[in-house]
Amino acid sequence: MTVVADAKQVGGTLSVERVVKRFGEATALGGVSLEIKAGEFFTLLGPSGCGKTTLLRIIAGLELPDQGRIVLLGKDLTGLPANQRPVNTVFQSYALFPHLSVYENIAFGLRSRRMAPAEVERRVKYGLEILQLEKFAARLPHQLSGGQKQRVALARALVNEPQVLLLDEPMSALDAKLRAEVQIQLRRLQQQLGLTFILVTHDQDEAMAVSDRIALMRVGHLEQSGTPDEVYEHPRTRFAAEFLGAANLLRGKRVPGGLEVSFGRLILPQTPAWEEGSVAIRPERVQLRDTEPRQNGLRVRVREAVYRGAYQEAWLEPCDLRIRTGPHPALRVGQELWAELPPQALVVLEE
Amino acid sequence: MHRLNPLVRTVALVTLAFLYLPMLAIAILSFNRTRYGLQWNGFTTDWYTRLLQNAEILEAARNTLVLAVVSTLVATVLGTLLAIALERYPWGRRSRGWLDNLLYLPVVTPDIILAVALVVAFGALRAISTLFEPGLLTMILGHVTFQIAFVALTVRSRLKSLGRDLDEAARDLYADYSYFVRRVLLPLLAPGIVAGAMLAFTLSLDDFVISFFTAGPTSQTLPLFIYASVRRGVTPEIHALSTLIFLATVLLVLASERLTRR
Repeated sequence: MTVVADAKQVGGTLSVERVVKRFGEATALGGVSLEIKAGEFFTLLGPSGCGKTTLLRIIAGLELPDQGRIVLLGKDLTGLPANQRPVNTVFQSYALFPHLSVYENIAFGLRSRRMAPAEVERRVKYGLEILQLEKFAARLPHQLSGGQKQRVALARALVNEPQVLLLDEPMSALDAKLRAEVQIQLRRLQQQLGLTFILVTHDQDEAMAVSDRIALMRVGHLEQSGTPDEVYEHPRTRFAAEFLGAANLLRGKRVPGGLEVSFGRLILPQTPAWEEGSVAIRPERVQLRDTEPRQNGLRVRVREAVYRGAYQEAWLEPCDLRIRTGPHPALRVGQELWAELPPQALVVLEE
Repeated sequence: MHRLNPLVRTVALVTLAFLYLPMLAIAILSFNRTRYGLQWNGFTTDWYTRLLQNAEILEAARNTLVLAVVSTLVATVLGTLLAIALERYPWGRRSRGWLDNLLYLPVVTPDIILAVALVVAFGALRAISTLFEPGLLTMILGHVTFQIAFVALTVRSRLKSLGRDLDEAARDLYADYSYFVRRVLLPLLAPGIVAGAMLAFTLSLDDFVISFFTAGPTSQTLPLFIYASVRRGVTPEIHALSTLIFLATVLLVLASERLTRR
């Protein structure tokens, strides 16, 4: 018995069309367009001030865009106030009503629409059940832990069967261990309910762990979007390469068949469009060898090595190459060896 | 931990004594059998009994209570609305600063200035309607004018501490404004509203200056009665009456403080 089972059918495509938002002189969003599919776990990722929260608030109806439209299933929501949108939000602060019990908090969105008491009870019970909150139904918010509050906020939004659930940094108040747990639960819940989730976060690990697709944002515009592996493996820009995980950037000049860098010539998987520019390689894609590799080899010396248990991290000279490799054998500072930068691991960045 | 100089403690105690001894003296004298002078002549509660049999005093007490209750009700409603409007309407930064000053001004304006202004205003209004003849109505209006700012300030500080998240959460959860006000805003503001109302009530109960200037011949209040009687000589009945008013005020202030702290 699931009250939101038919959400798979009703949840629809959400279009963000050229949305512009200014606050006084500052431009928070400079014409952002997005297409979010039904049943998708979509993440708006970016550093603070990139406009991700503003975009979420515009979708929720808590903020009006200066230009552009928000369209859900072909219906224009742009001018609709928040209380008339089939969209619910989990706030960063959770914003639980402090004077209402967990039960009444969850029932709030149902009662405000004057739903029949029997239906209210059924849905609240369901909400309590899927988020394992039955035991806490009578408690007040201040009697709950951070994780429990977050589950109440989630239940309070979900029982309304929104077509889109918006989550504004919902895990920022949780400690690291709990956060990892909640990420998995959130992902499972979203798949089980088949709802469209839009998550806002600045945490790239979190984005990678839960999302079907990620939109990376930077100062009011969309930098790149795609599945987590697309964005991670094929960052288009330097910002994308550095924001999602660590990246080594190598600058050089284009030459026939490759790239001329400070330490030699690299073979590239594709010819860059620029004359002079950068390529990126992830630390874990750099291979260490005892003998000179056939191509893209570099004689290096270990400048610094950090043992991290499951792996080790090292910085190599020359050109401060950062690598990540298995913990054995241990690298020693001063040790000399060969590094291979496989062509298929090199990503040509746009200038 | 710093050891406090014993002198500081002594000064503090002396200061407190200075503040409370006159009240204590009056409270003690209100139980003194002596009618004139300060000599202790045995304990009695006669003065309190007589107080309750004095028709003039009872009439004044009734007026004081009606005045305090009605003006507090009006000021609480208006002050609460004012606080919500000042705090939640998207004013510009500049106009918000001005509005803040406007709200504080009545609190620091000397009562006598406000009283004179009211006399002038009512004088002008009498040209339009006889409603503004000095009496209970003009007194109520006068009290409301100084009570509003106190209510608004108390309610506003409570509003500030609530933040705006709850407004947004309620809107996100399909609540229209009136549902939000009934179900979220008023319940959460209640301690602030009650505290503001109690403060306003106390101020009205004790007010002399505004009442003196706006009262009519039939609207004597307790403070006005005490003032008139004292000119004829202080009697133990006045001591008893003052003690009762003081007690009522203390109780209200304590209750108001308890609610604000919650």
